[in-house]
Amino acid sequence: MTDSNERMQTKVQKDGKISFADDVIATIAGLAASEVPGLAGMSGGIVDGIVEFLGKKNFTKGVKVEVGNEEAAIDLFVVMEYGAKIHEVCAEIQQAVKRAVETMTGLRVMEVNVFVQGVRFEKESKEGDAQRVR
Amino acid sequence: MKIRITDRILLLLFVLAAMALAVVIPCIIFGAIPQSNFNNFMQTAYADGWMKALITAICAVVFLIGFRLLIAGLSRPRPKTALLASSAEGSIRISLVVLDELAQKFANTIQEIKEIKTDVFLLRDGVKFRVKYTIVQEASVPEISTKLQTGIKQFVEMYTGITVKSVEVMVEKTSSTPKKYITD
Repeated sequence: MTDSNERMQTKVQKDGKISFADDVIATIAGLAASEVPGLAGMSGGIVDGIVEFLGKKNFTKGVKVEVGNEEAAIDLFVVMEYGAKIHEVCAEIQQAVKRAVETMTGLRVMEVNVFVQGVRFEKESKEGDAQRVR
Repeated sequence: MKIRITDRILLLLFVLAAMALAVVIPCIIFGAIPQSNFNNFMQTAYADGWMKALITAICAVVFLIGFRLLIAGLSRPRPKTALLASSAEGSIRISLVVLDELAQKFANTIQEIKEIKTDVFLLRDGVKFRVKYTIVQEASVPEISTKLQTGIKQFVEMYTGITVKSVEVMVEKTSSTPKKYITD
């Protein structure tokens, strides 16, 4: 989930202002995170679910952004692939998101906090694996 | 999501009220409750102050219960998380539900375990698991318990990096029926 779309973050440059909508930063962060191997997806709230149900791609799902004048703090709520080393993948996500946001916006990223909400288990393979019957 | 005991009681009362209404209305419509009785009741309700107050109070209680259940259903308490790492880049936290699922995932690979329940507890410097399981009769309890303890610890630590301080194991019961498998 993201903060209000209405809020624009403004950097004052010598030739004028550069403003970023929160959603822009959240989208950059979400896309950067999604490219890290081992991440199954982002974990969103009820609104994110409804948006996706309506068929609209939601790149800000699972991303919460707090931005000051020159800096930003980003929270990511993620679902990991089973088999991936969670702590290593999360560290990669932190670096990837920080790099992407700083490069594309010029904002200084103070922190990228990652919250692992779930693990996606792939279906058991047909050869050899057994399932429990309750 | 676990439902609190008070919400369960409210849900029961609400469902009973809805069921009562679902029975009474068809009875009125199809004449099981004579129309004269219904008319008398309505006239009394309109005329008698005490009856108005009573009906209003009952309706208000039902409304409030429904509202409370609606709020309880919509609001999701944030699941507890454990800290995996904290650095200059930020912190990494993992939901205890995920740790629980990983422990279950490992335990399901042990053939001698028929059923298993796991709970995970947050400690200051790691986590603790409490495991209750049903074992098939022919299996060795000490061997399986040790396998569970070391296995869950290694499995969770490998995939999450979190420190598993202890795995408490309890054999709840034994089962004479062997574990069934579905193989494709």
